[in-house]
Amino acid sequence: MMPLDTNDDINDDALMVLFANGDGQAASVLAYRHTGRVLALALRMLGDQAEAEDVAQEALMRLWKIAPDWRQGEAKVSTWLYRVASNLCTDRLRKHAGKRATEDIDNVPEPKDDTPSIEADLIARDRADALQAALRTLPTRQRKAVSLRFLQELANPEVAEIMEISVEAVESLLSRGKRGLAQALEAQRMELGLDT
Amino acid sequence: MLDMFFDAAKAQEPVPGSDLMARILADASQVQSGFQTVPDAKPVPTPARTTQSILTRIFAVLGGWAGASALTASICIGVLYGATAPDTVRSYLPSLNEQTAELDFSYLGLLDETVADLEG
Repeated sequence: MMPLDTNDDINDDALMVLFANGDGQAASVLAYRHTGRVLALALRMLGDQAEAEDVAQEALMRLWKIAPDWRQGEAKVSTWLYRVASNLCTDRLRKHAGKRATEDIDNVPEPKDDTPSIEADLIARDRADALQAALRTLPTRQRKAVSLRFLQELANPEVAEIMEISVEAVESLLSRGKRGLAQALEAQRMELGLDT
Repeated sequence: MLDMFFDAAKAQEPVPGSDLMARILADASQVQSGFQTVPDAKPVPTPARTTQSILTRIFAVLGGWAGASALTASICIGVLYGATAPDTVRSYLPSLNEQTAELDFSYLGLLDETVADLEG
């Protein structure tokens, strides 16, 4: 486990200024504060740990580079990072479109945990894996909107800002995304015998 | 139905590994060192540059190339005049060689009388 961020009283804008002025600790605080969220989004978008880590590293790299030109109060660091990461994911998904398109819900990964675990943990893991597989059946934009709204728990206006679309368009994507997920999960429940 | 899947997925939130964090912080350090070298990259004035600056300023005071050219021409003409002008001037004013100056100091006698009157 990584150490928790203990500098909650310093806002991101101030940390960006400190980083640009050479404060090494600022980078550490920003990294520990945001990497987990960026990694989670990338993992849900891409479904691949190594690729998700590459995206997270690249998104943070872009954050470091923009620090001297960061405009305080214009955009939240988290929003900016989500936008960069989601665009990087979209680029990767386009490159692998042919390969990814052939993957379907039958390729749901089996639980990897070899250690003994209580039944609840196994069920939760099955559900998480099932959702991940179902997410991958959605078109990229629906997947992005659903991940940001329901898994990253962002408000619709922030999702709209990240995706650079209107709130109405976000609502439309979410509606279609939820419908698609429900269908995919229902099919999976029948196949895998998941208790929903 | 979806909520329980979302809750399960959120509970499985990935945690960044130490390798990833090390890579990210190494990137930050590298980028940040670039920020710090920018001010050092500015040229520092050297004594040679200072001398050159003074010469440049003198050159500017003279009026640049036009002023310096005019000054040089004036010096050359002056030297040329100095070497050749006495004969030339004598050739135009031959009477200078023949005339002598007569100085009249009689006014000094009047000055003595005036002083004597004031004292007397």
